[in-house]
Amino acid sequence: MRFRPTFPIMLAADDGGAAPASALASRIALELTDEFIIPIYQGLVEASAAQAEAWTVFVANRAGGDIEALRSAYHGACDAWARAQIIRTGPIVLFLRYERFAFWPDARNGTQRALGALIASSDPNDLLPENLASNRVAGQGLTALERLLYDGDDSAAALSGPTDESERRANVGLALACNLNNIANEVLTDWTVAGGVRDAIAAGNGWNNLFADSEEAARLFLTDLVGAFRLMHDVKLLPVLGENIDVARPRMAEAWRSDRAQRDLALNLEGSRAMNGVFARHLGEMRRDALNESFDLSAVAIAALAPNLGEAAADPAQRGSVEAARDAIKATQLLIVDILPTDLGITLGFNALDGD
Amino acid sequence: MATERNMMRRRKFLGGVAGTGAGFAFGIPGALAGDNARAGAADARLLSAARVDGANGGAIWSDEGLGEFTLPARAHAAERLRDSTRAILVGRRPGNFAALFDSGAPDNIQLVAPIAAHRFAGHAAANETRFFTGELHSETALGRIVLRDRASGAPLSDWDAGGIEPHELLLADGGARLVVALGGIAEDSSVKGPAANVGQIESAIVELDAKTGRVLQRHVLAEEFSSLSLRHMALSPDGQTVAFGIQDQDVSELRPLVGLLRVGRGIEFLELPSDDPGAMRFYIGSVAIDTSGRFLVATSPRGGTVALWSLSSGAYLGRLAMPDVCGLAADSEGKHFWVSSGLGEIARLVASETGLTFEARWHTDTQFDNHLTVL
Repeated sequence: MRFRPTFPIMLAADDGGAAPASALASRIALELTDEFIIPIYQGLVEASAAQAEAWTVFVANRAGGDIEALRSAYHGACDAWARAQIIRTGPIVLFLRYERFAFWPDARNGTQRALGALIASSDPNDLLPENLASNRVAGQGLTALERLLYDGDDSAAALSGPTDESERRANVGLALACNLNNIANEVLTDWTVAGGVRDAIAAGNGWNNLFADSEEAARLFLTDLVGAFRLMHDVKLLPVLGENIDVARPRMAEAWRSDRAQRDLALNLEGSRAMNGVFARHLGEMRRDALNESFDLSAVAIAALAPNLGEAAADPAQRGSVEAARDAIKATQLLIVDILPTDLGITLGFNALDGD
Repeated sequence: MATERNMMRRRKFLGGVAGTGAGFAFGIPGALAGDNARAGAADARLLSAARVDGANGGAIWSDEGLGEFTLPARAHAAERLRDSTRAILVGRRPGNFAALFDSGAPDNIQLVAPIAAHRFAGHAAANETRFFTGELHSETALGRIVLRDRASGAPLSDWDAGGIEPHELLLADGGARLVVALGGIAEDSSVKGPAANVGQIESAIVELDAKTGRVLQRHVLAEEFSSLSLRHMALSPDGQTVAFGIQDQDVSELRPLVGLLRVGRGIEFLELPSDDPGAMRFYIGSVAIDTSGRFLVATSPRGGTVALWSLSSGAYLGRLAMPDVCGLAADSEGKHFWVSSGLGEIARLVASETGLTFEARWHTDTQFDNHLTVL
């Protein structure tokens, strides 16, 4: 056992009082809100609206419907979500909206079961917006839409055929796409409405018991930034890689059916870089450059991945590229943890990061 | 199966800090801070899982200094074995190890594995002859209670835990009942993601016959509380009341976060902090009852809050701020508690009918993990 000193702290007269809010942290919270978060949710609203419109057009003329238009709109919505996916602070966490937008990873194939039940049901009420907002999470979101668009031998025929089941499948797709648009609209409204999250942060106030002031909001945003790297490293890459190539699990890759795993990762990093940029503008030049160089290395490593990174993890010729991306992402994460809390005076919790 | 393993690193003991002015935060004169810090802390030794220079490990703290040792992965909570200097630190869920060691010299660790196809859930409970671990199936999270030999850690037998994801467990009613908090969160141990049953948590507290494993009582929540995960517990000195702490998986509205189980009877919730009902941020990390049986304390790392209730009336009495606080244990002296944080702080608190106050506070360079145990 090795020993360290332990330092007594003089007790202040008022131990229970919170420290005064840091002006810099509050400023960063508002900058992130205005320059990063709100624009990202505006993008999510636009992309999810386009997706809902594509399904509306398709359902109106299923026999002549164009599944490629649906798939294109799906990819647009996925792109927007991959940028927003790293934000875990604010209204996206209310009413299980985050999980409803994309129920992933889905270790037990709950999406298939819940979606199957939704398709098999003859109850039109199942597809009402108010019910989708409170129904089982697993049968919804982009993960369910991906099944409708890519699963099976002929997913186009399954949606456009003359059977009642095809009609139901298309109506389920429309309902799910509309629900995603509703969620995106609700989240953006919660951020931007008078008295909403943006106003709370601008005024240094709390919002909905999620944070007490803008300094706490800044701490949550920094936690989100670090969490983005845990998402990329721990959730998107480690399970796919397994401990060695013999136990690689290609189908643990995100959105492998639609071949999006690498693209989602690249967009996660793009979003993280934009978020980091707001924090980093308040750093000294050398520290900012160090972070930028690390982001560059991560971006290069991710760009080198095959689109289907799951299969790459199981391919001896390509596995090294996935391991390199894993290592680069971890290195960037460690640098962020090393620099931003110390230099900016924004506390990054340890126990608060992932409780159990 | 236990295996011998030596994972210690040694460094010259740097000595106590009273009088070493450089060690005092805020430039406070050493004698004042030292006297204050040492008050009431004599002989206390605390054990916690910890991050040690970025690596997974454990830490034993006293006001003489902090001893650190490494572990093969992240641990969660410790349990002191009865009438012994030995302790066990259990791997964090989904843990693949528990570490048995002598707390006087934790440089000779016996590693203990979970039963086949299972993972540890982070907690253990000990009686005079054995200890119990909660273990969850790797894919389904269905729980088993495993009885283990207190010397070797070897499994002796195992029981159905009565549900999904057993978390903390303790022996109540003079050791006759094993009380198990079933977190109810169904997660695959190999995947970090949303629970399979998100929004429909199947949490409960079960009371088992500690000799046979028979379920004596099962306490479930009403449908309106299906997002609550009952996870952490503490026992009153008379062994008849269990305080429990909750994590709410749905942060859309405020729901109860602390409650009491009257052993063999039922459960009740306590009020949220009346001065700021959202102060605990939907998440209790640890609970403790003081040795006088008068006070219940709960920590919230997300809220950076330590809150106090009266055990007899259930009334909320007050709270204080401590960033990233989570570790919590009752001191041997009534009305006193120890808390630790992920930012390296250890503090001794005193409770009264008017609230909590810091009695002494230390800073270290170690990140203390979720739970704290008095050795």
